[in-house]
Amino acid sequence: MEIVLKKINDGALYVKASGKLDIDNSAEYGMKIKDALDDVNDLTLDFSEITYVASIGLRVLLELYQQMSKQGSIKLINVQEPVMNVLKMTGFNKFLSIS
Amino acid sequence: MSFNTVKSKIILISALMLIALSILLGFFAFIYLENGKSILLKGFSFHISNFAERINKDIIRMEDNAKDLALQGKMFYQIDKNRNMALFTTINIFNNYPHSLGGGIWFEPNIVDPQKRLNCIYVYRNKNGEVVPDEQFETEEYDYLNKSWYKEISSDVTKEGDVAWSMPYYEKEGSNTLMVTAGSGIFSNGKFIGMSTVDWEISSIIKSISDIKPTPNSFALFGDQDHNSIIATSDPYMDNSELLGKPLNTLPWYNTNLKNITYFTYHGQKYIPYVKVLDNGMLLIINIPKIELFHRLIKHVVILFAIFMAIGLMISVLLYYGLKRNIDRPIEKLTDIAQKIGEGDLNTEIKLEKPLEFAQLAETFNNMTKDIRTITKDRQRIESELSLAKAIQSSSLPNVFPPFPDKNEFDIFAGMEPAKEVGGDFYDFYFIDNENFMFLIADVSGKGVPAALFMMTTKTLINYVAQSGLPPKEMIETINRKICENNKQGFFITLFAGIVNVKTGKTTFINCGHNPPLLKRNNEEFNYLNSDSNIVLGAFDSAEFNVSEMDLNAGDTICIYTDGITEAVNSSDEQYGEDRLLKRINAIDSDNIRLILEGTKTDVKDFAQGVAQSDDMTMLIFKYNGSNDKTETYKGIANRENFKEYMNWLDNVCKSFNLTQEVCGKLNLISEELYTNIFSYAYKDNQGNIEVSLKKGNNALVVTFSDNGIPYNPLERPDPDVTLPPESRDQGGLGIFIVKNTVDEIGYQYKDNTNILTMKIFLGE
Repeated sequence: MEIVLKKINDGALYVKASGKLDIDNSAEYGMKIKDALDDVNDLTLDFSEITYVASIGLRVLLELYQQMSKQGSIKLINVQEPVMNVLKMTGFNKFLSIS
Repeated sequence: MSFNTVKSKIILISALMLIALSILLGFFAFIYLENGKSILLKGFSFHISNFAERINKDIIRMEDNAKDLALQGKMFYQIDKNRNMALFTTINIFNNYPHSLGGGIWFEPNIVDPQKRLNCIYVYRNKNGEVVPDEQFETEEYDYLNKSWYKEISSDVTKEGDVAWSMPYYEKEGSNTLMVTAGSGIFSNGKFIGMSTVDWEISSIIKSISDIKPTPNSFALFGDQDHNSIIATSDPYMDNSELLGKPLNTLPWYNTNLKNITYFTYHGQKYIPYVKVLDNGMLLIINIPKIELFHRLIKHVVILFAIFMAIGLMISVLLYYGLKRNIDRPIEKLTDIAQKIGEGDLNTEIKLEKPLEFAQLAETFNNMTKDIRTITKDRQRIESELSLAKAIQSSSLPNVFPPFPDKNEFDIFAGMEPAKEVGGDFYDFYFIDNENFMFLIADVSGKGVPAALFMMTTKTLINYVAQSGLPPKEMIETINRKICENNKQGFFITLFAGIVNVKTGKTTFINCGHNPPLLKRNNEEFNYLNSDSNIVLGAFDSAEFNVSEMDLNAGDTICIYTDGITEAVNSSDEQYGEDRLLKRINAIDSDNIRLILEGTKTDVKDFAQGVAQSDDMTMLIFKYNGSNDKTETYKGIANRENFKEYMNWLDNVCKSFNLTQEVCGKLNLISEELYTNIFSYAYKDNQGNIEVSLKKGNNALVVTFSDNGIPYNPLERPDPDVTLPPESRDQGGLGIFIVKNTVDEIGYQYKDNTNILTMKIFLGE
């Protein structure tokens, strides 16, 4: 899985990955972002190239949310329809900021 | 009121009774009247005879007086012409006849003494009743020889003993009473020498005649021997004194009076004359007014008749009311009850104690009502059992449509409208193996419960034999044989069956005496299919059957039905018929077989216009959609390394199945969750098999995940609460929750040590 992290300015992190948040990639995706979260108070996850999110991926999103809720905010952008369906289905849209 | 009612008969009988009674009474009254008349007449006759006898006696006495005197005169002339002696004897004679007023002996001129022309002896009764002589008549001054009475009598008497009568006359000189004189001739040697006369006062006789009044207005007549003069009369319309001495024929009624007739009319009154001739030839006639004579008798008879008629009428009226009460009323009562029973009121009871016959009839009525109650109850029970039977029968026919939602190869729809509660028609369909689907329609001869029972047996039998794997020809021959074995009632069955290989469309048709089916090739119209028809099932057990084969292509539709549809009739007794069926079914322009069946059913009902359905109506429509199923199966050991390989396989299948990205995404998602679950939990620390199959039909994708791990039904796991805030979320169960909400259908079964999870994803258009 290709994961690109960009520090835009102080405290803002932009992450864009392509592929599936599945059993293979979710752990890696979560680890890389967590490692870069020091001093970050604004996390943006670009989902434009995420084709689907499995339950394991949801777990990573939940961990990130929990961490970010301590030090700032998290938001998902460019969420594709299949992924959006899963987020709605599981009620994640209720607490994750999605645009 | 009709004449043919009991009431009118009763009236008739009563009236006839009355008429008969009055005729009888009239007859008796007539006899009584006639009898009475004759008795009355006899009575009067007797009465008058007595009376006449009395007058007769008086007259005879007078005549005797005259004759005695004449004899005295003869003796005086022949023996001793002593005048004093003669006077003495004459006085003596008159003393013997106290009713005579006087009388004498008169001689012809110069016969006693040639010097003495007038010679007579006369005596009379003076006021003291003494008989004394009167000499004044023997004078020339009186000259009795020239008196009319002398001349009359002398000419009337011709021999000794003859008596002649003078007309009544008034004694002017003397007492001025009505007198009559009887005279008898004195003959010597045959020569008339003189006469005797006796004067009688006859007012007593007239009075007697006037007294002869058997009825108040009766009147009488007394005439002399020659009918020449009337001696006495009491005619109420004539003055007596004028009539006296006149001839009888001066009386207006004289002519009719003496012709021996029963009555005559006088002054508007009917009189019955009674004529009596006295011994000396004098005539006594009594006229009695008929109305007075019979008045009392008739009154009597009329009263009696009236009384008897009144009694008769009363009896008739009593008879009428009696009969009415005893016949008419009970009949009315029974009629009322019968009407009530007819209207369905079975709880009425008649109470009739008499007359006995009607009481028995009423009892019979009550028993009948009781029986009808019982029968009705039985019938209601039977009816409820019949509707139960109907429910059982309908539920025995497959009636859930679509029956195989996971089968895309065909659509099927069927329906039956039984004519009575239960019918002899049936349809059925089922897979006889994995690929061959059999559908059939049949009609058992007969209707009602027996046909329905036979139908149930046959249906089960066909199902049983059909599943045996025999080829169609052997199968139908076996079915026929088995039906014959159990067919003691002589039922037979027409049947049309089709066996379709849903993969290839190869179809076998069996027609056992059934109506030709309608076949519609894709995009064409329905037409009758002439398949080989065989003998009906159940006719004889060694019958051979031919089957025909054809290929069905996607979109081909076959419609089979029973004769209840084609033979439905309308009020003009017209049959629905095969031509109309063909025309109508083609007019329903639809690919939806349910609409075709419902439309046909409605059309048949509209055609029949409420005429009761006489036979079951059944129809089954089968549409072949063709088979374009594709199935791919993945088999391997479930572990993390092989998961990639599996996902690659899935990608390839998605491409080869030409699935949309959305469906592929769904397949990826559920595979991720299910595959990881299997290698993570199914085999605990070991590794085990996984098998995934994808079957693509026309409109759905069927996905099956199988493993041989520990039995686990993921569907039993409760869904996670997705409304909880993130802090309190437990991540368990989210995977299977996502799967359940991604696919359209999901089912689990554990079979042959295998967990099988089957899911369906609709492909859409």
